[in-house]
Amino acid sequence: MFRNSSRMKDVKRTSGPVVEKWGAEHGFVFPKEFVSFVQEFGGIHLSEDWGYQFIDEDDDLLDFGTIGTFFHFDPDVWRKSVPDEYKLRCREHWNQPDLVPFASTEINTHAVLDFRASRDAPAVYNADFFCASEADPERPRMTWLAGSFTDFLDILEPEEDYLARNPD
Amino acid sequence: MLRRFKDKLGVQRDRHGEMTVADPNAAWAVSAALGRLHRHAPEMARALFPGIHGFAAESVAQGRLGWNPAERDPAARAEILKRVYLDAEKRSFRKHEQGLHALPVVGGLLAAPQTAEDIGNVFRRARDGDAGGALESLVQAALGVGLPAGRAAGKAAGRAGKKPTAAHPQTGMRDPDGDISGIDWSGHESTERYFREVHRGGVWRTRFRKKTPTVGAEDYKGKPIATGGGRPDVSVGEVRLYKDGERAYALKRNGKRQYIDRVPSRSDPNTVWKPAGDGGHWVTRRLDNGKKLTVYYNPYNLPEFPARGAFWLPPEVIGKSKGAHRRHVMGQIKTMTESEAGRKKLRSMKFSEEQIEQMSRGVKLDELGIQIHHDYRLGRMLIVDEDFHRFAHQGGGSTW
Repeated sequence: MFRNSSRMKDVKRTSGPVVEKWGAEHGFVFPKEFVSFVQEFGGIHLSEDWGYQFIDEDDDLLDFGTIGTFFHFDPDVWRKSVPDEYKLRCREHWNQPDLVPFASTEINTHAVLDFRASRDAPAVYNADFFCASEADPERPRMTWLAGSFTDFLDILEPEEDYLARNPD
Repeated sequence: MLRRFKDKLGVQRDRHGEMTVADPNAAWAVSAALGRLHRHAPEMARALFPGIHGFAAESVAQGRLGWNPAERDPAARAEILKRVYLDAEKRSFRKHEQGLHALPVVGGLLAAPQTAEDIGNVFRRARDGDAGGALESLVQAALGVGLPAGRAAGKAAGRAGKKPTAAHPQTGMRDPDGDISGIDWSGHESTERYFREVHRGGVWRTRFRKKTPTVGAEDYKGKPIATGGGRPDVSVGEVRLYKDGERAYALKRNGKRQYIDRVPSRSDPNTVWKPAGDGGHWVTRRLDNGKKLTVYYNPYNLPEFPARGAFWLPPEVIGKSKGAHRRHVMGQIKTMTESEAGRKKLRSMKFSEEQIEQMSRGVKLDELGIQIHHDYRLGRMLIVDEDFHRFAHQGGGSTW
């Protein structure tokens, strides 16, 4: 998945405590696997077409979100950072403080940690911050992807595998 | 009399269980009328016809009736009405069947909505079989609902001794269900009106002063897109934007309404809204790096992003997933990097030679700080700088 991937310009690896501190300040306990992952891969642009399949909450279409970037926690770079995306999507555009975006896809959706049910065991959802849910217009359209961040990593796959199963 | 109108206007099952439409044109007019009641006064419609609004009114309001001129054909209308009523049966048709009998009566009042009490009285009289001369005239007016609303309103209201209400107040393009005079309810009409009243105003183009380089417009724009399910086709490039009072919405291909409520916050201290003078707004945001960006939001709350380029999708791709849309655009870009003419076009989209080289190797646009944005014009994909795309907005793809 990370073959030929590149780290965003100027983005440094961040330490675990920096990640955990940001989480604690916002009332979250990030899973250890998540902390380890963003330390290593935060700010990485994926060159390979990897991502996840999902069905849009309201359009009922099977789709594939090709991950573009895993967000980072480098406090010196705001672009593509978890804090910036959180502020923009979940506080300014929406009032969804329990969602934490951590990756963007090339079809303008985000993978988010969902802390609504638990402060320390978030599920992972696909969130379309540009469309309101028909069921609850106060939140974006969301599709459950995995029960944990570890499970989320397990469902990632190359887009070509998805297309082999579901040709356009 | 009610039996006569029921027979004449009803969509019902015969003794073999087959669904029949006695008079598609009349039934069509009545269904459309109920739709307008629902649009003008949804609470009233719900109070009078619980359950019915769920199929007839919503069907009209959402555009399932009146898609295009082909539906003037009584046979086509009959088929659509059957489908609509079939939906109703699945819900609570039987329970509320009685209410259907009064549809023609209500229809006569719709062009000039009265109070709930007025309509309720007529409804009760109709239900009880007390159909006098006033009711007769209202029914006649209902049958004339296909006429311009003002005439039908005047006639119905005049006989009932009521003063016609003022036209539904609108700004920008009229609501198709609000003031129906002169509107044929087709997507083509909507598109033409939009381009006449909004697009050609070109406020934002005056500001941004550039023409967007376009790929595929000559091949695909105007081509029909099969909607399926018996609905008439729509075409690539079609715009179906309307207003329900002050609230903007788009009519999707499936006939559903998509309200357009996502706009940048007016209370955000980093965001400034200014009227553009045409019903739209200039929205300026100060980014975290201090840079200020301005985007024009049209009167339907949709952004007109200053785009590097536009790619039109083939009709057969539009109905697919957003991932398929992306794959088509990325495939186009990759192909363009393989010819000098294509590279020239990419340069006109302000991509550097280095970026074009990267794209030829399959780099993701995300890495270049670019987003592929679904425009609200059906089938039009825009290449937009990420900073602009960070403005809160309704995803155009949700309006398709």
